[in-house]
Amino acid sequence: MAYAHGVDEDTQTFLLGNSGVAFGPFLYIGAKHMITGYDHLLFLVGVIFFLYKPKEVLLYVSFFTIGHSTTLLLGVLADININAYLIDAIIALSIVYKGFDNLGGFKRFFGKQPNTKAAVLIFGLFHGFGLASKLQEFKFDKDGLFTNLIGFNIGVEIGQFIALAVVLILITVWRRQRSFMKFSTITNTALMAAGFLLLGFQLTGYFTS
Amino acid sequence: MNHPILEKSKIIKATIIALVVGALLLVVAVLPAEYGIDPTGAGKLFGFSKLYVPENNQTNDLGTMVSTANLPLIKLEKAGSGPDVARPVEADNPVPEEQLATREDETKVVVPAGKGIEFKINMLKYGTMKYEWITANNEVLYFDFHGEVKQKVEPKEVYFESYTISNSHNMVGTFLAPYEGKHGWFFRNTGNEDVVVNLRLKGQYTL
Repeated sequence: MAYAHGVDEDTQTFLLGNSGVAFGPFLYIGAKHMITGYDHLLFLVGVIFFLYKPKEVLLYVSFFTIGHSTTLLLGVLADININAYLIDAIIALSIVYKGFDNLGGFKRFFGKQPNTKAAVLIFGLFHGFGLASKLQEFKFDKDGLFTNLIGFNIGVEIGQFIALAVVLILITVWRRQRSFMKFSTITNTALMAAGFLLLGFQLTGYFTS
Repeated sequence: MNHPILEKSKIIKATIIALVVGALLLVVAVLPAEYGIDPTGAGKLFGFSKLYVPENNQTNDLGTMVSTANLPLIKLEKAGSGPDVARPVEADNPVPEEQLATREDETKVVVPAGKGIEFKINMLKYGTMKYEWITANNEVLYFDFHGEVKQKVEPKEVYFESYTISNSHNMVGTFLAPYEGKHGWFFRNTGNEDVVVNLRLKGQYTL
């Protein structure tokens, strides 16, 4: 007969599900995901590539943060499930877009550059859905959800801040060199290549799963 | 924002180069290594294909993927009641002259969300049994198939042996009881929904 039994409960306790509040772990997961999330980083590299003033960097990164925080909170709280491959494919597209934009592609071909702040905000929204689906992979209780979510979000911002600081320092040093302009074309071409690669990778994942 | 605007031809060139480089890396390295798709054979040539690990994916009725690759590893130390509990002398009792009558049962066990539950049957030493269990929606459960020795005096800590500990949605086998006592499954449901296990038994036991 089926019965809940004391003996084995004692000797075999093990924890897999994250039960209740786990602010610290989720903070860490958020930060780690951002630092190791090459797709988010590549996009940010593209965004800040031609931003010289700290004020501008702050402004654009704020737009990105508002964008991804909105959909991260919305996605998890409203339990919106969007296929992770498709979201990641759009994130890959955002990298291609930014590389193309940095080459001056939009200005040259369409005579006009799309509103860069709006673009960062909109792609930020997609990045947020990507973060939400990442978080939804972890099974966790409904209680403590909000606290965990806030922990994750703050972790994402910390991770983004650390990654950005490193990238900014490197780019700033590099800008002083003559090679910067020479290599900017190559760098942004490489950015687009990485975007195309990720796009193919995610779409293949979508169609084969 | 005062970035240079390249000439059309340069932008087209850059875009084409990016596409070609991206596609090349995708087909030669990433697809073979990540998905085991190798249309050109380059993945095999360079050894990228070796990196591909087919995941044992199961799709349950909800359409969500359950991958056993994400499950925590189970170590040898998990098996049985541990070194502090002595094996009772009753484990070495002689085999009874007669086994329990053969019977067949089909039953459901509900494993509540976030909880563990046991299902056990009584068997005599060297009694045999065939079993089958399947979770209703292919949910993967942690389980410990184990048996306790029947003792004259109930001890403080029960001695048990683990026959199999694993994570699965389905298990089938034959079983020869090593000693008289209660044998059965401990199921652990870490999910947020109750899981129904459909059990079939056939053999020498009593419920």
